[in-house]
Amino acid sequence: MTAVPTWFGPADRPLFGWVHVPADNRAAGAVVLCPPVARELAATQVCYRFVAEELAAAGMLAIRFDYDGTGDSTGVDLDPQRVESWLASIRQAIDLARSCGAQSVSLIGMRVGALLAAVAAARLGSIDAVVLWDPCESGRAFVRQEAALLRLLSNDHQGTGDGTELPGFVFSAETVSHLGSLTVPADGARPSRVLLLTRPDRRPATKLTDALGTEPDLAEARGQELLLEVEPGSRETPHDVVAQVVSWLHRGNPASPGVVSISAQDAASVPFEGTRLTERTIRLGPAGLFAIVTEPNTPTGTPTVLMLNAGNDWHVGPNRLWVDLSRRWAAAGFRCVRFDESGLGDSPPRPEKPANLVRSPDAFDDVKDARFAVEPDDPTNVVLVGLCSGGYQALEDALVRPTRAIYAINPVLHFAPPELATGAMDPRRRICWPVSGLASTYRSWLAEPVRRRLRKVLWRSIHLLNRDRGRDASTWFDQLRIDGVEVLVVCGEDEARPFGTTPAETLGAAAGHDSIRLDVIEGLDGALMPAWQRAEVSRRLTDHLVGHFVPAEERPIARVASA
Amino acid sequence: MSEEPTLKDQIRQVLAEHARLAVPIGTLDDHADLFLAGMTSHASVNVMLALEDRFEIEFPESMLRKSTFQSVAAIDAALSELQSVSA
Repeated sequence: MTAVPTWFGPADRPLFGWVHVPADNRAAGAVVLCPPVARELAATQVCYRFVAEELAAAGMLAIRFDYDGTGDSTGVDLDPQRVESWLASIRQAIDLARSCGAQSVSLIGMRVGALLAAVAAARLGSIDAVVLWDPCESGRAFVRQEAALLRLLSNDHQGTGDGTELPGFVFSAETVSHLGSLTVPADGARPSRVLLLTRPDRRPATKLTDALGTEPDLAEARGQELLLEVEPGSRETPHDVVAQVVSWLHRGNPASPGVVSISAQDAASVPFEGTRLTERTIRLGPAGLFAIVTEPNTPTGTPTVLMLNAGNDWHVGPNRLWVDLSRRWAAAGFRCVRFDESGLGDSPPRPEKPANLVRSPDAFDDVKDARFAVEPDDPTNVVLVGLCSGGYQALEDALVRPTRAIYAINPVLHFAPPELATGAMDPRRRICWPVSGLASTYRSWLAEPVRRRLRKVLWRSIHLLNRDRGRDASTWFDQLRIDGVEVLVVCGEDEARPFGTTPAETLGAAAGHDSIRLDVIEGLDGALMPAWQRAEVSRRLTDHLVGHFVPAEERPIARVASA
Repeated sequence: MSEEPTLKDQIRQVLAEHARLAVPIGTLDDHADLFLAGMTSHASVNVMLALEDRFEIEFPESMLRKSTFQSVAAIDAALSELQSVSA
């Protein structure tokens, strides 16, 4: 089997996707995977890749793709006509499947993706089978659920002034309205077969299947809560359900195997705020790490920006922040590369290594390979950007190799390295404070209010202990200062605690030096879910980048481009 | 003769089905903190949607905060307020 990345669809507004081709280049029909939207899109990226791989293994061509304004495709949340653009994206993915030689096309959709798949099937016709996986029966219910979740995740909701804010994303009033009124047309085409997967504790979305007019086969969508309703690092793909879906599609597939081929486009001209940028898929280093590079129209000699994975989110970054910043900063003259570390996102694991392992020690090799691949003549000429585990890894890497700058957002230093499960901590880890069994016991024995009262005393003790071990922030901040690295750490109060309980304790000898900056923002969410936080962090990073790497006489132009 | 379930009984039933608590709901008193008992923000949204479904009400935006779903007693107070408004 092969998986081929490609741009497709309209040349003036390209979409991005992957075509999974069976091993012998012969496929019995194609399956287009319609993803969920907003937060649930990131939650299902690994699951969808697994589904596509299983479909290809079963002899079907599989296409996974990003709707217009999502993932790596062109556009943003607040562009007009989102819902119709998403439906048009499905049509273009179907066209891509047919252009590869597929004789029949089926659709899989999860959550809002299921609603969109049902509408697309009824509108377009000629769809063989449709899988409605834990569907949102209405777009209104989805928006209400996600808006409520943001409010329950964050008590400092500030509102956006325009539209509805969901965790990590903003939908315009038009999008909310169009999604709320989206229904399957009564006189639409009927797919040959429908599989409806419903959570065991929910009612089947029969309104959707009744409108489609095809009597559905019914099954349970087990495991959705572990896929969609957990922290990013804890998501689990429901393998049994995937096997059931693939088997159902394979069993009733009327297509006979035929030759398929893909004419992939590895580069595209992407419009962004009045200019056009070139984006291209590349592979980095011997591990073949997957990356997308966004090129400025006029190379300026500035360092290349490398964006790291946040947890096990894929290369589009937390709430798609890396895509937005890549295009914004490329418009300001910077070459930006967003990539997946080995075993994460769209990169293969290294030999004999597990996939989807967050904070793997292999990340040390991945970042090294990436910087040598993008700047072979001077691998120090990079700016590393990361959030959470990516922020941690950026700091670690800059302590090993000279680096122009690092932007670490909410870096997590206090965690259990995965290698501890089988042995000692990797000696390359210089700033990690490994979570011990004692810490776990403390967390499980003492209630949060008690822990809150003990927090200051406890952190102070930990700082004193780590100072003796040379792992305290003041030691390595000073090392970065001596090495000439520009450092900007942006974090909330909770994430700031491991750095120190006082400014002197945190920065030590680096205090007062402009090259080392620690910005603590009150209430900053670990994953930047509220829109104002993403805007504020983007502004601080952009000002720093332009201020340090664009000559003074060119800054007004760069600032306009990056505003 | 069986008695009609009280509002709190019905809340507890919804919590048993949707809150994914670390301990059985029957072991918690009405004022026990449900978030400390393992209810996540995601689970609290499922509880909210299930309560809306069962009682045919809609929580207004002003009630969409953690304190509304903090305990059986807090949910009971919120539902009572909503039902008195709609009565």
